[in-house]
Amino acid sequence: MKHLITFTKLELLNLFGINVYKHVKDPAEKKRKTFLGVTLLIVALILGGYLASGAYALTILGAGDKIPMLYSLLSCIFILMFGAFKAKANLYREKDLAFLASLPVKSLPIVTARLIRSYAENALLNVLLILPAFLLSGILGNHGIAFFLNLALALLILPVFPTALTAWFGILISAVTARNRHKVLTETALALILGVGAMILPIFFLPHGSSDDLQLIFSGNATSAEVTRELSLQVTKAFEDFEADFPLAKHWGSLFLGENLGGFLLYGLASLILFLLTALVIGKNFFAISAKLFPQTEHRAFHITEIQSRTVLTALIQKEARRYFSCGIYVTNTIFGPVLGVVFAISLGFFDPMTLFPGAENLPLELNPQAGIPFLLGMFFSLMTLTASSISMEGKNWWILQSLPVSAKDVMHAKLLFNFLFLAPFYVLTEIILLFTVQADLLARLWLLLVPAAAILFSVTFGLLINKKLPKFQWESATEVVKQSAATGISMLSLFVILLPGVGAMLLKGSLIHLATLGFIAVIGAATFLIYRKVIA
Amino acid sequence: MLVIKDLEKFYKGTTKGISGVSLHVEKGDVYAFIGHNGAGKTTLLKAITGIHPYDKGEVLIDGIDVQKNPLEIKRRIAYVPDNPDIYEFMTGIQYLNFIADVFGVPAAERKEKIADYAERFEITSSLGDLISSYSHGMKQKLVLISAFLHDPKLLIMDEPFVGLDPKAAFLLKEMMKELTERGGAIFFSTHVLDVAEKLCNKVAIIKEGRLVTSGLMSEVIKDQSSLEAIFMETVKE
Repeated sequence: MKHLITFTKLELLNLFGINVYKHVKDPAEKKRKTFLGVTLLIVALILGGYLASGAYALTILGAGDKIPMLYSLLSCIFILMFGAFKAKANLYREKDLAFLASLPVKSLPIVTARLIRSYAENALLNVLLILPAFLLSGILGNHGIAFFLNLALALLILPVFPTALTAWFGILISAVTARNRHKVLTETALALILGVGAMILPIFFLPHGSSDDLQLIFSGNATSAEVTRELSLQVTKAFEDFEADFPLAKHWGSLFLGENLGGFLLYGLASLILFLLTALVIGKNFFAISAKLFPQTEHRAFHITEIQSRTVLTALIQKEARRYFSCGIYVTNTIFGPVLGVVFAISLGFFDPMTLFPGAENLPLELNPQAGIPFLLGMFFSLMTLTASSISMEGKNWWILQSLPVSAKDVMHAKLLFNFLFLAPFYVLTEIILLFTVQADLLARLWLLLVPAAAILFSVTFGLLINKKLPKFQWESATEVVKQSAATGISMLSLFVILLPGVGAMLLKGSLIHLATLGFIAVIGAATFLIYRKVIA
Repeated sequence: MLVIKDLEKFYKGTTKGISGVSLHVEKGDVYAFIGHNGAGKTTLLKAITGIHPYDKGEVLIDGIDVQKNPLEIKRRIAYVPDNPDIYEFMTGIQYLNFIADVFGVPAAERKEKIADYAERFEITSSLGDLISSYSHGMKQKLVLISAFLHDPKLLIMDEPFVGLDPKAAFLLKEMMKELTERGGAIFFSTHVLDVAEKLCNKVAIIKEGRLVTSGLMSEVIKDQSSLEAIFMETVKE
């Protein structure tokens, strides 16, 4: 128990980087960390507000009692989706393995402490994101004190089960990839299957109604009471369909309503047992699993043969490529967008873009989804650029480039060029597919070619500028840089720059579409040039 | 070769740094730089190499200002850090080839040098392995080889003997001598005072960011029994 407390304290000491923040002395670094913390808090509050407004809408539509079921399900799905690939880094760390093995401590408290850390992260995120929605539903639903007490307990208990489950997923993924020669490739493939699957799966759960049901709402003749009633019917039907397909979800949701205390406590107990069982099994085999996860590289006797020289820029680009393809987290997170671009291009051959907007034909405005396709493609290619984390990824190796006779311009050029080279095959493939899947005139086809290209140039350059301004060299896991850094978060703002004009283009008609698209390319081109000048300065 | 004039560098928000440091490294010098932990050795070495900008003073290498023309300086020097944090995603040969590309070492010359140095340090057979599989000593050997690849005029090293086995340490001393015989100079920090005393013709002692003494080894030691005695006395004061 003493060791468990010690290791739990150690794990929680720097939760969300709090300890480093407390003790950092450099005022500039402190300012940067404060900025990052405030930004993340604002993002969390916006998301929490967004979920709360969703809860408000559901209450108005008479589905307030479904909020605990829906939001607790969402919470579990999020924890499972994002936790599965984080579990390995959370549980197994190569760096301190030898140190831990040398300590007179059993592995059980080490593993339990690490699981508690994962749980604490998930629980805190739950509080930030789901608490406002739960509170609102309780107040609007005029629930009694039992509901709120149940709610407080639910927030604590809810993350236990998915946290334990992600640990098993983490082991499974690690086991598949550990002794595989193409480790990064396998990890990427698994991530893509999980990611694309998670996007496709909800389609099967959507209500089976047709857009005809919404005709009354969009006809413009309905009163607000009629609109509310119609929407309420739709929402109720959707939940009924869902609960009919998944009866367990209904019972599970009822646990969080404060109506079934026994069932609720039983669920908490079952979650706790799974958690402890996970800690026990992993704890017992911790060092054995770790040894399998971090095998020593096979040694092959090397003989010096011919060595070829390359230009500085080629050498730097090759270094970028090696860095990129050696890190699974880096690849899986950045390859997702371009792959979605290709999938989207293929899907255009099977469905009409108008189906993305059910009932749009009844809107007072005429929608032209065809005009938005180039922008949507541009957004996919810009989803997460490599450049947004490529400076931070240098980490403790940054001294090498600092001490070598290479100009900052060459370093930046290499990072930009590698990102372009990486995206090039996806871009070319998408454009070829679009030739077969989209019927368009010459000008529209030109936009399909130029808008994604302009978006790529812009987002990649913008990503590098943000990373140059907000580098993060001190990190233990690449996750901290690729997924959680300020640079990657802020660089995603470029998505709005690409997507919002696309939405605007969809509302236009005829030659105005072409003019607006041309204007977008000109503006974004000029912006890219200005950003590029700043990047190489 | 290397002239440091009244150098000052402090880390933002702290009193940690160096102040009023002046010294002169000439061709053929093997200059030892000693001081206790946190005295400012690494700070000075990083300022000389252009890794850290400094607040005041001047650093000239071959008459060229480090802050004004860092690229020209970096072409003439080589830097070995206190910790061999190198690209673990590369193999040893890939790393050496990368460094040779950056310094523009011709293919034939680099092949000859890599073969020679790798053979001396006995790591030839491991050059095809990922650096992540190397021990600390092997990584240190690789950093040392990469530093000697382009025949630097000035070699700046931060604790270069840490992690080296006795044979590798001996080899490094030999290579340092060879470099100075070719007209190069070496400025390095160390805690191994015996090595410094035997190997170096000049020494500087730093304490709390300020140079306490510097100059010819014989003049610094004077009538004291050893460099260690001088150092202990200086630190005690």
